[in-house]
Amino acid sequence: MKTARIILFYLAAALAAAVCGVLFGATRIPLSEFVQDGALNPIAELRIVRTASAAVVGASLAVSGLVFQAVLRNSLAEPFLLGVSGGSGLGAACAIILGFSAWGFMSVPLFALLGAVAANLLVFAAVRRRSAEELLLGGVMIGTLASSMLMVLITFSHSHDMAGVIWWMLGSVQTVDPSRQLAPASVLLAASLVYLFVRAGDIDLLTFGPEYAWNHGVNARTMTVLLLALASLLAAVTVSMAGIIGFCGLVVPHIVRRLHGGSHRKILIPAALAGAAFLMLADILGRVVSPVRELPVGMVTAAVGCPVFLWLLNRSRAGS
Amino acid sequence: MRSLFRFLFVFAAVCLTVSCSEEKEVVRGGVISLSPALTELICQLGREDRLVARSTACDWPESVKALPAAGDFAEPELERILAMKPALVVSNEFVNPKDADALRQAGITVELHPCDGFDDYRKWVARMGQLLECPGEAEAELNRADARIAEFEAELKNAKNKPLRALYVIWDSPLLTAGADSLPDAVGRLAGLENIVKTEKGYPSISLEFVLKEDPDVIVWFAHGKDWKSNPSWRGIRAVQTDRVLIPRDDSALLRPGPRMFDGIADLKADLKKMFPPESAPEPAP
Repeated sequence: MKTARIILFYLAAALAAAVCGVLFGATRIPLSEFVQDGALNPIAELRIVRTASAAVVGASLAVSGLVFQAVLRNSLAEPFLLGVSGGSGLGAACAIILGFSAWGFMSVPLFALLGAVAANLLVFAAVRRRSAEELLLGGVMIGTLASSMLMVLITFSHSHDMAGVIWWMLGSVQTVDPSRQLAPASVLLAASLVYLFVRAGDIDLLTFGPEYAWNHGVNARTMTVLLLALASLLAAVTVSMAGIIGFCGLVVPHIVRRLHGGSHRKILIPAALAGAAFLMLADILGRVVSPVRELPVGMVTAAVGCPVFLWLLNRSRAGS
Repeated sequence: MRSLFRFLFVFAAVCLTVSCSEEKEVVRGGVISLSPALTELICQLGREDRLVARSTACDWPESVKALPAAGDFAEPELERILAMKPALVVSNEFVNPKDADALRQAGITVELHPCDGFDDYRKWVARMGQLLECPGEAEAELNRADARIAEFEAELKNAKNKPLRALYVIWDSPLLTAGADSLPDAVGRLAGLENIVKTEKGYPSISLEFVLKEDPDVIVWFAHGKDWKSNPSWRGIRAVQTDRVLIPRDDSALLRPGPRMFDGIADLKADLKKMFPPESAPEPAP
């Protein structure tokens, strides 16, 4: 299938998911009531913001996962490997448990972003050789340390704070600020896509190993650090918006790569669109299955992603 | 056959132990309360002198703050409690239920019962009156509670307006609210409020879309120190747009199933009356 056709297919899927995201939810709104007295129905407005948020978060996670899997040459790589989830969880828990959340709505996302970026910087500072494998190990260590500190904080927290931290970690796109969170995240995603599209050839070379890339004129070490930093930043921004949403960054790029090959110029945009569609559908599922309470989207992605991934894993083993 | 006899013997011993602990009528010695509502109740019954320790959350009446802490709310510090050698430990629940077994094994009477409404409160008053040997004070408190509930119910019956539909916000993100069988639901009903959350029980986390659909007349804001104004997700809710978000004067009086909850209801009614003067209240009841 030609690249344009592939992109058109995924674009259609993402658009269909977006339309469903606005049409379906906890309540049924007739089409005639979407606009009332010249103003948008508040429920429709809420759905538009959360659907757009799900699209941006899903696309960012998928792109981030794609880069991680390519650079680390590991199909099990995912966006939170360099300590992003542990760091952001610790940041958010600090804001909630130590009372900084009283500063305003943006304090938790900001602390989460700071935690993620700090954990990332710590990994890059602590690992001297900065090869992909060593960065990966450093990320696991820093992530584990941050998770342990998070557990200490949770131990000393009150039940409301604990619920806040746990719910935040389960992931949700329900309360995203369109101007202060969604807009900057969209700009970062667009800029990343442009950069990665331009550098897609270099990423392809990196998938054959740093020596191979070096022999073909790519500064492998610098490129590796740059790509992992960008992918981690994308993940950190999504975490600050919607908490820790697993599986999207692991399963979606894996499936797209399996279906359409390893050329990153060919699969970058489809992976982003597939990630957007996947998270939008997961969000719809979460609010339709349990209308009053809503299932956290992170839980839905895990529930859907886990069996799909295991099926793929078994299928590939059977094939090999 | 021998194993059957052994089983029957153990079973009988367990039954005897359980029945003895359940039938305990009076407890003499120090009392530790790990629930703010029960601390208030013990003081209301005139048995503050029996308290030897409290939870860190117990802050009313002011005089109990002088007592040492023996843990957080529902979270006993076992070693500290054992060192204090109390006769009775009371709480609505324990975060770790096994803590109760550990205390019972040390010979301490542990009373653990939830309190989610007025019936539970009556049971607690009667039980504390029995255990702390103050049946007269307990009866007086029961009469006072019944009289105040009857007074609020009579006012509700004579009300010209239909109840205001309310959302109780316990926490803003995630949006934790008080469900159908919760204490805020019960006290709010006596203050003339109707909870928009009817199907979910306890303190569920609910979706904003549900809130938008239900469109409450008023939001009772228990999320202390949190600000709904800075959160864009709240802006679409009519009660927020019309500034009908009520912060209770003393939220502990409404969230604690203790003797002050009736004053809390009266304050809530007064604040609602100010927020919804008779001419702006929702349409009259059919």
